[in-house]
Amino acid sequence: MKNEGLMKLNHDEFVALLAVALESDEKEASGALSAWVDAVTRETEEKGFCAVEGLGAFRRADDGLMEFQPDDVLALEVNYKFAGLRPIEVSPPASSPTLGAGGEEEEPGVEAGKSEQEIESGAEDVEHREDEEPVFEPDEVEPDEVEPDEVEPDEVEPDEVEPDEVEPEWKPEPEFEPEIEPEPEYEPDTEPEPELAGSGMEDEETSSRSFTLPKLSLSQKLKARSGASKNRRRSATDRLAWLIPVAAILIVAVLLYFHFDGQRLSRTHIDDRPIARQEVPVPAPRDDREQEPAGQEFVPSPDPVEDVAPPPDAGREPEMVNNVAADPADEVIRDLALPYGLKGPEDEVLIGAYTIVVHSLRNERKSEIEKQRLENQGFKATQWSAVLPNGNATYRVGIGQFKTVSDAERAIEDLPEPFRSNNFIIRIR
Amino acid sequence: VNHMTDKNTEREIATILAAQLKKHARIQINGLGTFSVEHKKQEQLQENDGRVVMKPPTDVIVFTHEK
Repeated sequence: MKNEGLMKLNHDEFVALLAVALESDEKEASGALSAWVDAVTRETEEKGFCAVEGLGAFRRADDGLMEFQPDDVLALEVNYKFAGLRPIEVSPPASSPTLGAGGEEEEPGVEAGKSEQEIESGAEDVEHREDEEPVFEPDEVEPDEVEPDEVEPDEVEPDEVEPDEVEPEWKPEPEFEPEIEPEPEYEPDTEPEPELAGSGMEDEETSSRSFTLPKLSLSQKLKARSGASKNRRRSATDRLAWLIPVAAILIVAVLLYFHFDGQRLSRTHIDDRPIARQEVPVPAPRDDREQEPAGQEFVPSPDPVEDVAPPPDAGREPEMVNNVAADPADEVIRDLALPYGLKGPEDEVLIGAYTIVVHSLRNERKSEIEKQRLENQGFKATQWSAVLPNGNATYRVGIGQFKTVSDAERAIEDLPEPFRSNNFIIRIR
Repeated sequence: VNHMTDKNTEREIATILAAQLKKHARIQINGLGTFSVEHKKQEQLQENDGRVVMKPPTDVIVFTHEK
């Protein structure tokens, strides 16, 4: 868009200005200008390049035309209103695996995605590891608690084989295997098992004993059938007496575990549901604010910045996001409480919010006057300074504070001219 | 081009051109071309990586060679 409506200077007018500068008449100035044009054109054609100090350089393009590259200082002066501005990241990459790439701050959306990804892959940071450990803790603990039970059969075996006289009668298992059919006869020996039912180890123990029973089979069976029922009952009683304390200890251990670690267990079960993590809503505005390019050059004026309230999202803890921000109504209420908008008093500057810049001035005093003028018109006006690449300062005046770029763009439609057609949006930092 | 024209003349020409461009004026010089300042509005663009960025507005000097 060329500034067609701005000042134009045709050849004759330029010659007139040159005549004044050279302190000569226009005819002489015109001749000097023509000579300069011829020299520049000729040198560019011959050498492909012609530099003019304080202006820039002419180059010969491939199509034979001349191109002009302005001097850096001149280009900066021409663009001083917007000098130093850098792109503002409005939304992050759709599938960015990293946080805040190219931006200044982290982004909740990506962060949440990262968290989920890490949780799924197991490549988690410390916080996530802490969150996940409880998930696996019960599973890791259970085997430990089971160990005594798993050992128990081995310990039980001697009890079952307890009668010393039986031991010498042990024979190779293969010999007894065919005779194992009457297993029910040993059921009385396994009667104590129901006492362990409460521990949940019933099935495991039952299955393990199915392999130990044959070892006891024949000799003990003979003893029993030969009238040693008394010994067998005593054996069962002894075994029962041994198992009861073990079971009691196990029950006590389980109760203690649930008593002291109950909360961790319950949280574990909640976290164990992947859907619960995915359903956690993350407020959209935080996405926008935390993705601003790191090199954003805007430096809000010291006064408002130092006195401002913290940004709406500052210091928010993950738990807060899960428990509080999950309710959209709460977020709406919170936003309504913040001084967003185009008009109204500028009670506080919201760092991270967007504003519409309508003035970029070299003179600080003038920028203060413009700010006051806007405030008198009812606008929220903010004034701050920015340092340009050449080290000079420019003083910008912004109108309004907005949560998103879209909000700011909509507000522009409500601005009066010339602000409506001459502005730009930046983020307050 | 100092050796091909008067150095003082070239300095004055450059000074006038620069001053006018800073005012965003459009300057026409016969036999050479036209200098102007073009304003590029702020706009949102989507980068190749999917990022949506708002590029700042700029005022740039444009030269159109006179054929």
